Amino acid sequence: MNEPSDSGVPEFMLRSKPRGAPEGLRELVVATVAKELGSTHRHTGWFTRTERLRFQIAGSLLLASVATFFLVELREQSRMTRVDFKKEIPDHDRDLFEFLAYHDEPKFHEWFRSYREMAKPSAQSLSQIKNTFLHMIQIDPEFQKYVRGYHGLF
Amino acid sequence: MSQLARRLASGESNAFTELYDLCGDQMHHYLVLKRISREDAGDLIQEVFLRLVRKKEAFRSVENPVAFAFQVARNEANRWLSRTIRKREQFRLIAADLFVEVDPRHSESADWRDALTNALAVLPDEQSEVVVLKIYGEFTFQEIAVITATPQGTVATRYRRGIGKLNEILGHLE
Repeated sequence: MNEPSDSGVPEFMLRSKPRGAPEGLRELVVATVAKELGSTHRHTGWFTRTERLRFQIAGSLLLASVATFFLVELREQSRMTRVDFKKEIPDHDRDLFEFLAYHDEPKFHEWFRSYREMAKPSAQSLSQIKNTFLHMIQIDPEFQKYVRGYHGLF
Repeated sequence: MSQLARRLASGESNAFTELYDLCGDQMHHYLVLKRISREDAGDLIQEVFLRLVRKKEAFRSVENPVAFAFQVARNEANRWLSRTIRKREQFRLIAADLFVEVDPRHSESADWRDALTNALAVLPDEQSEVVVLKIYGEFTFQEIAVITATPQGTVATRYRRGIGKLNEILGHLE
């Protein structure tokens, strides 16, 4: 099959340059590849689509351990029962639980299993989770150290 | 097998970086044209590279690693779209997501971006896909045939029809 000559490409197609990938994606891909290949080099951006869950709470990218930490804290602080807590988690946060189960966080396994059996939890706690997280970041040096030390973020 | 394919097959980390440098931007553009948001396209590209690493042995039988990466990207995108069909129907292509500036000789370049984006949006998906792979991905018909799992003749026909329609829509604006 003959290829069209350059003159076969309309000039108007060449006037606009395609927009490339977002800044930072290269580093994420490189880190993802390195992690998959078993590199011991620690990256801050190793998480993939599945792993990134829906961590973009208020535009911030949160990591699994952080989520684990603040969700546990949230539950303990509020003294919610497990069922009550699950009710507070909006349906669209399911990825969070899938992620945590994927990463074998024992505390969430059981929650996750029963969470999946639930119908539609009331959708309201996203901002509560976010605020708790931000609050903990601000007030708790241990938490800051934990986050920084573990992932090199923040 | 190319040298790069050989290095990819052996799991050389730098080879994957080179592969990204060769095609990351074009792949992202291609995915956005398939009505995937820029953010989701970035996630998908991570998935694509993860998949490529996991099946790195496949590079041993690959002539063009970039075309192979696009083939995987297309499959990933179609899988993703099949899960989010409602979103896709509602998704509107945005010029600024697809194109940047601009030829400074054309002060109306922003309008051109809009016009081209709108024109691409009305093409059947299989035509816009081939046009974009050909012009912006710089693939041959043979490579596009492999990427899209379509006979080469069909690819060429889709390209000609796509370009013809774009000419109809945009030609008078030249």
